[in-house]
Amino acid sequence: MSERERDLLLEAAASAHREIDREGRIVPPPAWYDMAPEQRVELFQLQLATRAMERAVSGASGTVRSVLRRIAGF
Amino acid sequence: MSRIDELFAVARTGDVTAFKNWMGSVELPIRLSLRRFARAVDAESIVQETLLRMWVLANDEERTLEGENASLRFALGVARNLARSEARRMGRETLLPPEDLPDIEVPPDPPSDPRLHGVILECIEKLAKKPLAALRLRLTEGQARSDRTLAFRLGMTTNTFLQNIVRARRQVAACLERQGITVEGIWL
Repeated sequence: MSERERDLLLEAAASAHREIDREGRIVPPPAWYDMAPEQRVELFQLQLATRAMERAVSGASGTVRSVLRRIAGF
Repeated sequence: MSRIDELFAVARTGDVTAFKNWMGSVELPIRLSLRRFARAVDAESIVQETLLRMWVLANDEERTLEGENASLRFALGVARNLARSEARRMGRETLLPPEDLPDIEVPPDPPSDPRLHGVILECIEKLAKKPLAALRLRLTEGQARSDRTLAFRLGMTTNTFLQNIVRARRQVAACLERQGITVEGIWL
């Protein structure tokens, strides 16, 4: 896998957008399943930095806003 | 009573704004506690599931939590159990840390840098047009819509959209580093 391919794979799982499966579980995005364990550790750091940027731009992280949407029934 | 306890007490009256502020106070400790599970589970999914379960608990009048930062301590336990359960469900037990490994202490109220948000915004504003549009849309609406949907709105393919975000992220990181801030160090 090239560095460019790796970056795109990680970026595809960095947002806070998550689907719900048939049992009602919040599930990882498809890209997550394609990652090696070491790449998932990199993803962890990328998600951390992304949530920080979201807080700077919107006042709340994408995680908090995603949970609020689910509480509101969206 | 800590600020976290106060916010959770108000959230227990059904106050969504208080719960939002409570989530903002505990998200980082919960997320950091999951670092050791990162090889086996998606931390983002676990954090969201944990926070949703805490909302259910907040609205359960029969459940009580006692002690300093009780809601945070309970949430950390929920996150840990969810991570282990999810890893087992997906057959990834071998990637889990040992059961008897002590939890890593994470401060409930991490120190914040009031200058940091302003610096991040300044660095984002310096981006070129397309990376700026992609990153800004992702940061403001990425939790609610898929990358495919966001890319379509900008007239880009999903691949081009993601490439623009990668480019933007590199430029923001370089901008932050010029001001003495490492990407690994940013949160609050």
